[in-house]
Amino acid sequence: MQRTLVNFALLIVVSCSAATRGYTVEDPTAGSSAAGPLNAQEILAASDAVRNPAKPFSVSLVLTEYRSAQQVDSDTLAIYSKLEEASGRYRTLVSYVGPPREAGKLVLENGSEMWFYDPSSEASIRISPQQRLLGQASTGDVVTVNFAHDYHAVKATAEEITDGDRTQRHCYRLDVEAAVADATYHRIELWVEQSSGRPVKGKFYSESDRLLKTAYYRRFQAELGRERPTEIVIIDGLTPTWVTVLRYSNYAWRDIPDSWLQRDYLPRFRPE
Amino acid sequence: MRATWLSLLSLAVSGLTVAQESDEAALAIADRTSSQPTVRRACIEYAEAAAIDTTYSDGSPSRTGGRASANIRCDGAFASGWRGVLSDRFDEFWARGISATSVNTLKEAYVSFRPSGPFLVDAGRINVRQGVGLAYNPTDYFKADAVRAVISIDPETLRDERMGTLMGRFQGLWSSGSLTAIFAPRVAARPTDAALNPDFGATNGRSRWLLTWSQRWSQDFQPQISVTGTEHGSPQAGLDLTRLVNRATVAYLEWSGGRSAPGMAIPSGYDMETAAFRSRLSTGLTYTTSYKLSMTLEYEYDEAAPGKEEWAAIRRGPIPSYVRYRKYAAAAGDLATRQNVFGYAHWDDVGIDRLGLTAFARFDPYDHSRVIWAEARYHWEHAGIAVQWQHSSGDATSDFVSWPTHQSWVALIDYYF
Repeated sequence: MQRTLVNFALLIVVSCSAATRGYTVEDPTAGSSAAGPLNAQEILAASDAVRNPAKPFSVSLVLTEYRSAQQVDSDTLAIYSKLEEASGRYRTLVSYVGPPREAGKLVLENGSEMWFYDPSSEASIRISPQQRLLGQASTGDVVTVNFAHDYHAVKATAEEITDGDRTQRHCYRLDVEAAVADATYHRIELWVEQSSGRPVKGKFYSESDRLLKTAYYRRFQAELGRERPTEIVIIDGLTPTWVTVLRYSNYAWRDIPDSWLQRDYLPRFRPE
Repeated sequence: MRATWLSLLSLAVSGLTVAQESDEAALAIADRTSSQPTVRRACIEYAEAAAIDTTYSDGSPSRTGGRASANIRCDGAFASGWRGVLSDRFDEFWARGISATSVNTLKEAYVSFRPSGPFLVDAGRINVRQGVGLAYNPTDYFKADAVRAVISIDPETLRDERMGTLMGRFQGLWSSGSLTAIFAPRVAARPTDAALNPDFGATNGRSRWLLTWSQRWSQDFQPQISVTGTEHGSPQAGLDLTRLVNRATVAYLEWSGGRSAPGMAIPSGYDMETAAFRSRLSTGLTYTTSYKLSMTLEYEYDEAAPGKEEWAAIRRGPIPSYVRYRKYAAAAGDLATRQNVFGYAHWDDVGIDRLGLTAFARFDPYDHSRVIWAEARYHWEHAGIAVQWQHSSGDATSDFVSWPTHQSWVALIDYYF
């Protein structure tokens, strides 16, 4: 499970905006900007920009997992991420900080190319997106998704919902469908606040249209130049008492050379 | 009809209410979360204790024993651009009726310097591990004689617990690849069993060099090409390739080739006239299911190892020659016969979180011997427990029968400080 959540964390971090496509907002009076109303895909891209800094950065992440309200696990990760201009995707290096059993392990995600590195054997192992669910180096896909890059927002509907901080928010509900064959989710429902472009809530579905998980984005605060969510609460779709809290801290701009983000650098990587 | 619609509406409303309640409960749990990031540590230490029970094929009574181990790995900066790495393991073995033995394994001890440019220089004992294969790695050129204390036949454990080689290493990195040059000098002629000796005779018994070039040509194509040479030996070339077949499957291929003598001739000193171009290969597929089960099937080939007829002749021949060859092949990390098949499975969170099952089997198609190894492991934040089982089957001198051991059980506990 922890590995799955790592992937989810990656998803959160690596989602970014890219191409925009011409789908219209169902409520044409909402979502106006200086340049005119945003279409659904532009709203999706705007919510990506809220989550993800455009310049290379690092962030600490603590994943705390609960089963039936009892804490069962907690991991600390350091994440280094950099937008690749050519592809519009982030390349991400995840470093395990704790617990001690996992410390020093690395996962490099570079599109569909993923490597897991274990310092005890100095071995780098190629892993598949599905294998990320295992963690060896293992890891999922729930999350490799680049929302505006890998998905089409086909419709935006104005809705009012209660956010993760129990405040009523005027949102667009985006109906998002996979745009690439290897997208992790078949479809997503994403609620984005109309006034700010903040992601508020997401529901993620499998190909069989089963709800895999619900995510609440909350605790927004100023990080790297704008208000960003610093906590995501994930609720398992099948077992709602299975809850994981992802808490982000220590955001910082980073000089991340491209040469870091390749397999051959993994044995060399030493966080500063 | 109206009643049906009302029932459906009622169901939908009650479902929505349940979802809202569970979401609220989850958010309430999150409200109480007060986790802080763990601070990165320069050193990670852990201890392990194991109880071992071994049964034999020759009718000897089963034997019980144990092992206690301590492991430390430190990695930290000590000046601008400089860092040091130290990794060491100490094992104490004992068994009923046999005096206890101690083995220290100095796995790594080196300093690394990174000037302002894209270059790195390292010096000291470094564990350089190449190869994309899971169990057999023809391009892992520094694997020979590197394992001082065999605590498991699990390939992953063998890789983890081996010694590095004393060397100087230069690496240049650019955005899509790297070039690495290594020179490992001859330091001592013979290995030693002395408990606390760093055993440079095992890892640096001859001078060696290695050049490795890696270049990313596309999103999914980054071959790694190596050339290596050894004192009194012919250069060998190597290639490592991986490919994503689909979202769940990775294919890999690892090849090494060059002039070399037959493996059987090496331990007794060989005549170079027997040397010829010989290839070694490891290739396989790893498939992962959506429920965290990962499976690998690997085919292994070593042209320098005896084929079916030669292997049969070796087994029928003088026992000292047979034993000498087996010891050589095991220490070199090469196959004992020309072909092997390896199957591996790992399953995480089996039924409950943190419970992992691992199993593998190796099979020799010539003598039909096989070995099976399985482990169940559960861990908490600091402590972990595991049970391991190993079973060999085949004739007395066959590939995977470590005569006279027939079966062993290991129960172990570890603790990360």
